[in-house]
Amino acid sequence: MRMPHIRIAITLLCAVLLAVACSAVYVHRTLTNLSALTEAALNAGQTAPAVEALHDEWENAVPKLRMLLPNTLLSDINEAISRLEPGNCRSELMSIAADLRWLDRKQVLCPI
Amino acid sequence: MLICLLRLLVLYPIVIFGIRLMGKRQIGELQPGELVITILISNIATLPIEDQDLPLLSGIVPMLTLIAAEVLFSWLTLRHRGLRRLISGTPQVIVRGGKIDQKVMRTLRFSIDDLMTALRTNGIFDINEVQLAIVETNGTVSVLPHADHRTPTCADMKIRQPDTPPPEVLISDGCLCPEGMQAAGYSEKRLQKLLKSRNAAASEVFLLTADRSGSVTLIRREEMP
Repeated sequence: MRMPHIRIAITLLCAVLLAVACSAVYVHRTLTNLSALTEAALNAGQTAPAVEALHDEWENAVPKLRMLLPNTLLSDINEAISRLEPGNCRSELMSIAADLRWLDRKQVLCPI
Repeated sequence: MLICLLRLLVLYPIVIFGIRLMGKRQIGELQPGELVITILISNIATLPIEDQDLPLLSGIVPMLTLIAAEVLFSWLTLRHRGLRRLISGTPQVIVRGGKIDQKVMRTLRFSIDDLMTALRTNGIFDINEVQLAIVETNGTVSVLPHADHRTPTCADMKIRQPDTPPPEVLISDGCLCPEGMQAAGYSEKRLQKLLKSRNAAASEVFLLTADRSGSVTLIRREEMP
């Protein structure tokens, strides 16, 4: 076994571990942020600006999340967020918040 | 369909890179651990191609991790004999002094048909000709025939033969091979002189080999119809 192979393998392993750690942190932060926005929308009485803020944040985050999470998990949340109607979406928001928390626990906090 | 094609184009070079990084043994005789890694990598590579709901990274990350772990693990087994024996096992003698060790064969779940096949592959058709047969850790059987049945060598016949280096490839399909030229002691000037004496240009040569004793073989390119 030549040493360059070992160096490449160690570099590769470190890069993979770093990438996995970064992606886990990113997913956790994004999902926590989205959960906070959902809670805020709930607490603010489902006002249009609060729902709009959640929608915008989701639109920004979803392209990156698609690279890191199974798409089936995101599709359900995506559908629920796109159907939100300001002023009359308390149960939907609660469902979205629960889904986001579940996704966070499943993918980041308790991945096994 | 486009996603499937693009994912395939991304994963293909990664698998090739991995197999190259894991070394020559991965494309030859496999040890048990290497076989497991190869099967795992080929299975993981197909997952994001088949299931487009899975992110591409969920295929790439475990593949790269397995490749890196395999290289590091093979390096560790190279340094620690105990670990090597634990992972790859030890060679087992199944025929010693012409006597078949049936107990070892049962342990290895090696049938008499497997043994006879392995002997025939080694050019031996009579079990009585075998002095020693060993099942190697990669599953191949090495056979040592009795002295009476071995092919006599120059040393057996007390014939002295000088070691001659094999012919080296100097030109392959019209392209010069610097490593071969160096090994055969040919400079570019000497090669041009040789080609001139054979009335050929390098681009016209399909194969040119030479050794240090001066023996040269030149095969010209055939004209394409």
